[in-house]
Amino acid sequence: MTLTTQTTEHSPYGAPQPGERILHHHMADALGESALMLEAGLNANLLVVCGPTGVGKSTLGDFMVEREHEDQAQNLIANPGIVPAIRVEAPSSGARDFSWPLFLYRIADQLEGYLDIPRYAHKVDPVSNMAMSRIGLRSHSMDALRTSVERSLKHRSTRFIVVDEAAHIIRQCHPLRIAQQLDTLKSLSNECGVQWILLGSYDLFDMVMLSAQIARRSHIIHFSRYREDIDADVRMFQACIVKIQKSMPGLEGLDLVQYTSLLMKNTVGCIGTLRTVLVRLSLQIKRYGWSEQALRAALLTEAQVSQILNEIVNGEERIVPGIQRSLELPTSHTAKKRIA
Amino acid sequence: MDMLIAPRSTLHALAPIGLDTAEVESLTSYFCRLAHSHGAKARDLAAWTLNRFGEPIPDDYKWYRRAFAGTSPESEQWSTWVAALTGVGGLDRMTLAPWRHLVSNCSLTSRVDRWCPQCFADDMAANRPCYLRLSWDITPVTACARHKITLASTCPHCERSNVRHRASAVIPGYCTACGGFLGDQSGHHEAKLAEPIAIWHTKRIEQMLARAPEVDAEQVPALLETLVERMAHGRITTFAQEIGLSKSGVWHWFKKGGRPTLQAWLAISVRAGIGLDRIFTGNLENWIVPMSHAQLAIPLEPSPRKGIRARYLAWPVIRAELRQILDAPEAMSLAQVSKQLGIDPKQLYQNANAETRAIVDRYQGHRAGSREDKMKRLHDQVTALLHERWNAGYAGMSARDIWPLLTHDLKAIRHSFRHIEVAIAANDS
Repeated sequence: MTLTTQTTEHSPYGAPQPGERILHHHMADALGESALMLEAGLNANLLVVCGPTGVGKSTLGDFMVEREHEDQAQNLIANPGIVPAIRVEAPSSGARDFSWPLFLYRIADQLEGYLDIPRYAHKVDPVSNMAMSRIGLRSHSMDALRTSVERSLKHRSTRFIVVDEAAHIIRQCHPLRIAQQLDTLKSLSNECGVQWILLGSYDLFDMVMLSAQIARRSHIIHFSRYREDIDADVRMFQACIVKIQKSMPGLEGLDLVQYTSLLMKNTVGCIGTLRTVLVRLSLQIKRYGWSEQALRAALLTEAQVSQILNEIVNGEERIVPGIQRSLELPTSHTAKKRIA
Repeated sequence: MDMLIAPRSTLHALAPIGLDTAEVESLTSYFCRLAHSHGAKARDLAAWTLNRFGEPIPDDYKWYRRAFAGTSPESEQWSTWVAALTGVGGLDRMTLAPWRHLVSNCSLTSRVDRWCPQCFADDMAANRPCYLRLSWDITPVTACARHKITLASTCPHCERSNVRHRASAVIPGYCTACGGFLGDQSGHHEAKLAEPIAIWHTKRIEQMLARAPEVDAEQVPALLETLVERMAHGRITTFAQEIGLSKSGVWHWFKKGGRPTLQAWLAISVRAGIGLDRIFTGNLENWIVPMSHAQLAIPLEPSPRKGIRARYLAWPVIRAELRQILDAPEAMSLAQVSKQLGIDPKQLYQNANAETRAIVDRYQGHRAGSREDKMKRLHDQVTALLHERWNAGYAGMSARDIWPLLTHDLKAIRHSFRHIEVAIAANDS
């Protein structure tokens, strides 16, 4: 069965165009794990996907949304109103506090792109069963935005929201109010039955772990890089080079596999960074033709690599123990008797 | 197999409530729910829609003045726009537009906003959104067929009218003035029981709303002709009389291409004994027109003509008898002859005219002769009385003195005093 998605030219909805991205092994693992945890529903309000910069978290988010759209194809055909998943970027407004209104605007924009009209928190008081007075209602207030987003999420049957650069939510607030920030997300989740998938670098993990309550309700997924010291990772990285090379104009016919080790060191095993390097290479080749000099010019500088690697190593040191689970099996009764 | 996933709708694809049922939602209600689902005012959403489709927005724009649920092309246009924005089809069935070619727009939609409080209460109890039924916007609908009560038009809390949806922000089921729930009933706002005829009208109209018409515009004249033919043997005047409408109004349907009002269709439905939904399918093959209204069983007194049997009159025989009466020595009056034969004088004149006129003529002659005889006897009696008085030494007698002394039959002569005086004068001379 072939599914054809019709999108308008300025379709605001988060179903990205397939074709340029590759679903490599680590990404497939992360995708599978997140899909599994999404089945948990409200028992896992927050899925936190942490990984090094350039590993492909944004692309992972696109794949998640796309996969959800494919899984819900029948529902999409039956109901033109549903938007099962969206991806938004948490804004960094430059202000001291995180801008929730701007964040809610971005979500509303994803759900209702063209509908630029004032929103009001006009609702029925559940206690008195009376409609609130229209007099004094302010448009675009925080309450109004939140009300309209909640209603949209319900009516659009949105299952989850992928938040890229989620660290902004936590970073732009006082440490004592981190739990409050995430409580806001949790509250929206409870109201609308929506799960949050937060994508961010390793500092996001640190911030989530600051609150025991949040830590309990979160599920951490480590989207790791490909490591040079693991043979399987090296082979998979090599395969990625080949795949990206095929889809990139200007790189056809080149044997970049011989530079696997170099590329792996330079990109620190991150596929996103690898793509960036290869894009630069294709531009170099287009201008100057192929040469190893062109390849060198496309690589990251040593300072860049050093900085990135430093952050990654520190992050991996923190997160790997953080996501380890121990299983202490009980000793058998017979064994105890023998010992006695 | 290729499957097409349509673009995501701009507005929420709310499911219409009660589509193709008697309790179908009105487009006005759907639009209000749509605006509420977006956390927006209905007014703003309406203005945005007009702007989106390139329509001008008046300065004093009141969104609820737009005919969302009527038969006008504007209603159909709005249903099309909303369908385009929501991706939900069939929204024209939440308006009266499908019946535009069948029902006149005159007095069709009510100017007063009405609702059934118990329907709202039922919606709330069933945990579904309160919504406005399309039937409530139709003028002849004044009652709720489910709850058998009269529709309300004033808020039970603030007692204002036209507070159902006439505001910029609307939550169906709640007063736009005070915010109170319109499904509440208390005190003097308790529902009044509806008249049976009102409930009947509502049922018929709701049946109509539940089923889209199958008669198209070109088939309407033929439908009307069929109704007139079957109900009044093709006579339009009789048909108009049967359904209680003016003859000119009905002629207008046939000669000027007019359309019956919904009230007229209801009258036709009553008389024809079939529902509006069936009329508008055009399927009248197995339809039998009900007999004329059966006479009421009123206990009547015995007829004075009961027991009277009709008789056969042998007129040749009767004419022979009349001729015999003519030959009789004594003249008889027609009244006497009628009594004797037992036949009304009018019948004698109709069927034995010559003989009857001869009898009358004979009797009149007899009466005239009899009259002359009486006059002569009167004269003789008056003369005798005068002579008797003169002989007694009196000078004479007045008519007043003479009259009591006359015989009975002479006293009965018309103008007897005048004739007595004439006789006195003749004797004096």
